[in-house]
Amino acid sequence: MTQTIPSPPSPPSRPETPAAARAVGLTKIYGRGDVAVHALDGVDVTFAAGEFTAIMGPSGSGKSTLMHLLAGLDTATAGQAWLGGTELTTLNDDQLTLLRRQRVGFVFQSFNLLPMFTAAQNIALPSQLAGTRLDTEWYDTLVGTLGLGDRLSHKPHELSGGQQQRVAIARALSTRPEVVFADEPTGNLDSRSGTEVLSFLRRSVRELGQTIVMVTHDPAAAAYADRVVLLADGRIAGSITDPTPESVLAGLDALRNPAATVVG
Amino acid sequence: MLRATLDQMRASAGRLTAAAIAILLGTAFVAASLLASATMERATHDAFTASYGDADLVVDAQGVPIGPEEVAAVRGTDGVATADVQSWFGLEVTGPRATEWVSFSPTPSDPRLAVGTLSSGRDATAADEIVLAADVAERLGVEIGDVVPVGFQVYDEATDTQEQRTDRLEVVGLLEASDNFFAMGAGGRLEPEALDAWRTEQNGGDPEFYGTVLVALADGADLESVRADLQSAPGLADASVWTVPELAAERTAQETGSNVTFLVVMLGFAAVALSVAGLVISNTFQVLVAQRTRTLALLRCVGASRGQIRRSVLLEATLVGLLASLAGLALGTGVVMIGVRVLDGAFASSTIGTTVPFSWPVPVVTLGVGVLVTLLSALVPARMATRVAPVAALRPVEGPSEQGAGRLRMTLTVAATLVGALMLAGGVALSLGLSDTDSADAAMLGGLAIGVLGGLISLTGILVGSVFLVPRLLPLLGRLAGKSVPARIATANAVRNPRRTAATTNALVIGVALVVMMSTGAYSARHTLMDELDSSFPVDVVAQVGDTSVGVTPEQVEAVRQTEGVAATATLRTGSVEIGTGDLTTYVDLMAVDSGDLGDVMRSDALDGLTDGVMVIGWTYELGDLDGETVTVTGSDGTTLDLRMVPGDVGQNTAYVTPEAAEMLVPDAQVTTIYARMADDADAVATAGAVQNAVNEVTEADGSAPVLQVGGAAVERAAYGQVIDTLLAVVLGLLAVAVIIALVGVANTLSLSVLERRRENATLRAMGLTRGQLRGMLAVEGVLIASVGALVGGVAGLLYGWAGAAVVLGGLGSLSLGVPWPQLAAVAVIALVAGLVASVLPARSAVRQSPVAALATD
Ligand SMILES: Nc1ncnc2c1ncn2[C@@H]1O[C@H](COP(=O)(O)OP(=O)(O)OP(=O)(O)O)[C@@H](O)[C@H]1O
Ligand SMILES: [Mg+2]
Repeated sequence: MTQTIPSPPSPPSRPETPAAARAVGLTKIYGRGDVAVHALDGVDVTFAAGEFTAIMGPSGSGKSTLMHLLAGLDTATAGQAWLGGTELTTLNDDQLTLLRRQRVGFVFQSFNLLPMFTAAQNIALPSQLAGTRLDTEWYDTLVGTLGLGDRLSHKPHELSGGQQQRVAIARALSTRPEVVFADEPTGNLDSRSGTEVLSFLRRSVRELGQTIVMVTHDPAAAAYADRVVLLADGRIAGSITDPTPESVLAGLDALRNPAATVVG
Repeated sequence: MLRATLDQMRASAGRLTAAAIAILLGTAFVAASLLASATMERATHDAFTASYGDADLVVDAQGVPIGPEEVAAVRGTDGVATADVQSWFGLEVTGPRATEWVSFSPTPSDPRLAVGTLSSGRDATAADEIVLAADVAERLGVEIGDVVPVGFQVYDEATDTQEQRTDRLEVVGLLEASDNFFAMGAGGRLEPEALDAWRTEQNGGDPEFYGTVLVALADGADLESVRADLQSAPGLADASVWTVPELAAERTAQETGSNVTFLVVMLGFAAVALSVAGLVISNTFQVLVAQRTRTLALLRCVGASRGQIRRSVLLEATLVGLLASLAGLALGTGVVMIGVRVLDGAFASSTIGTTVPFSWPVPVVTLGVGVLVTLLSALVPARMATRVAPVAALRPVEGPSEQGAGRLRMTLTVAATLVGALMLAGGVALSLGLSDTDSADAAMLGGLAIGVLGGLISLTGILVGSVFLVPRLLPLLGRLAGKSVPARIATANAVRNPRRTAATTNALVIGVALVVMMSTGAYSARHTLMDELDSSFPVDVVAQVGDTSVGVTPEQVEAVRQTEGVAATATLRTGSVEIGTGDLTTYVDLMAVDSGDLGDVMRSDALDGLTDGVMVIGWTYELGDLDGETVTVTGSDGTTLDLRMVPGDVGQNTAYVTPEAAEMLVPDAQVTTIYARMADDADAVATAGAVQNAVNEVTEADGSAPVLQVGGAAVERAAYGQVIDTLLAVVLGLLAVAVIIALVGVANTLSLSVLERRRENATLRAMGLTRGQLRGMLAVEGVLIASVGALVGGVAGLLYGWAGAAVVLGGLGSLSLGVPWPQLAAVAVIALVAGLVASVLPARSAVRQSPVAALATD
């Protein structure tokens, strides 16, 4: 990894390429001694700004863990996690919380909307937490693009799973975060709703310039991304640019069959 | 199934804590009430026993007059060594420090018949000797060897006046101080014949009395045969002859009536605490069942029957109830044991003893009540558990579905609240409407009964209806908490589970309503009584000479005026005049101002009409109320004046005239009385004491100055106030248990909510809610729930308090209802603080949780 020559106004170790998120030798060990689990084992990976990246790998390979560390939800055992120019491992809980509030968006597998608030209130929540005004133009764009116009006054239990996930995406994008992290966003959806959600995620990258990191088990879903990062046993096992369902499947097969290698 | 139940209990032990604490506090209350009552009963028994000395037999007159012949018959009975009459006689004893009314008993003829012990000196054996209890002597400021003036009053039928008898007696001994309530005459001893003579004179020549004769047996005499002989002695056929233990047992049994009242009142408070506990328990179990829906459904899938599920929940309740009741029993016993020790240490000669009479009904009742309440509270949750269908195991659990409250409930709410309110109003109307008639007392009791019933019915309505009311009030209160995201979420969370929130606030409503009701009632009682005292006893401090032939000295007047806390003084001349219309005449005490202004020292307007040619007069024995008629007044030297009578609340057979009129009627009247009004912020008891000390100092320095007795309404006013305040403090202390249990309930509800909202809270944390904000969110929720309970309870309590005061105090005349702001403010502050405190533990477990949990699927 090359680094810029230090110049006074910019931070000393700013990466040359505009990386939205970056892991350097990132390690996470759960437990101690005999029961210690190396969830992440020295991961180096960079997620470029304005890119839609999918993380794939077998169950237990450390995908969620990697995402948690990059999003400032959990603390690393060793290594560094960067969000833009900020090194996360040096921050305390409150600093991490403010960082998540201002610079990160989340989409969860089980939507996690607040049941007592309407769709509109759920979407407005992050900006209210940040104490900023929600940009009405941006809000209208989101609502329009996600097709939520006639569902805004409904509570989550009055919405279908796909609709709930679209509200969750609108919520994640509402503050225009630097990176949106999505952990299996289509895991609880039927294939039609899943397709809708994925197309929207891709549009938000292409048309709105959003950066998205998505964990998925579904090769078809991964094919919506610009790039697929493969993870196995807590290590980066390769990457696929401009993936198709077939190339992703082949890549995953190769993971199970170490003889074959994948060129990223 | 037992296995499964125990496993589930272990898994949810933390969640059962609140229910256990609630039942623990409630049962501790029951145990403490039972034990305290038993201790009091034993103390009463011991006090009775002590009040008969070491007598072998006691002849109890039981309404039969016992005179000198009967006593002689007792003494003459074979086997009787000696016998003493238990009689007493009251004397006013004056010492340098104070004048006190002291009750005396005769010097015992045998040490076995002595009640109380001589601590120094010897017994009174001559008519001019006196023995005083050490504490009385201390207060009066006299010692052995001093000669003290004593006095008593004898009614003279011929002149219709009380005549003062005075004598001077030498103090020859001191008795150990006693606080034995039943030992009459414990203030001192007099020589028996002198005592009898005085008593007979005071009784108008009648030597008979009603009471007891203590008997000591001769050596070797047989108790039963002496008893039989005494029973058949002349004049004693209707009297009973007891041994001391028999009589003490009998008297205790009679006295136990008041003990039973005490027990009933205490258990009433325990019942309040237990019903609040029941709400908390029911709430806990409902949530437990809701959280275990999936487990229960699984059990049903694998073949558990409905009966087994129900039994499992009830078994769990029984075990929790039993364990908590055991702890409650221990706590209650401990509290009473400590209390008894403290009391015993506080009073040197206390008859309470240091042990607690523990008998089997205490644990049986305590454990029984505890388990029963827990079981009853768990019945509804148990039924809920049996309703869980086996298929529920297959459905995802996404928040318990909260069904709205039914129409039946709404109807019940409106009906109960309306009917209760109408009955309450009816009770007030009945009592107030008939307060000036002869049947005022009956109307008051009837009104009270209707009112209490109405109060209970309307409170039921409020409690049943809180599920509608509370979710509507919470958002209004929530607005006060601000518009921040945590405050908004807290408000939304508080109304999410209307039933649970309503049940939580209900527990608080009961406690707060009772606290505020009692405070409001006490406040109104205080003010009504004070107004009443102002008009019946308009003068704060009265310093008066005992012997009206000597006047107060100017130094004494100055000493009173200079005393701290005294705002104004006036002096009065007093004399006696005869007033009459036709053949009917009566003597009245005449008062006229000498210096100062009576308007400055009197709290009533009774003397506003006092002008030349007028006599302001109170009710008189012979003439009753006089109003407007002109009556001839005859002075001490026969001078007569015709004065117009103006009625005023100035005391019986007492009249005020202008100084000029007094100069004509009683020219030689002395200045005998000093009136003083206290500053509004003065401490009544301290000021009265300071006045007494000030005049005593003058008397001690100047031998010719008279001894002044200090009295007046201020001390009485303060005493009334103190009685009300003390009663209120005790009642509030007892109710505090219910409030504490309710607050445990608030903490319980919050921690259950935290458990249920793990995912949501983690999501919020992931989205940028700081730990502090999460804590704040739970604090706001706790404060909101507590405030709603306090608000509803406070308003209800205020209305109940006013209604109660109107019913009970309406007959006393000017009823003054008010808002006890200090108590209301205290309730509000306690609600706020308690809401905050209740959120501390739940918040701690909430912030410990990592936001990563939000991304977990289940
Ligand atoms: N809190 C934890 N405590 C202990 N071990 C953990 C914890 N979280 C994850 N692990 C372990 O770390 C490893 C990586 O887990 P992670 O959740 O990142 O995998 P994943 O790739 O997301 O799997 P999946 O596809 O099943 O979601 C696993 O072996 C897991 O058991
Ligand atoms: Mg995962």
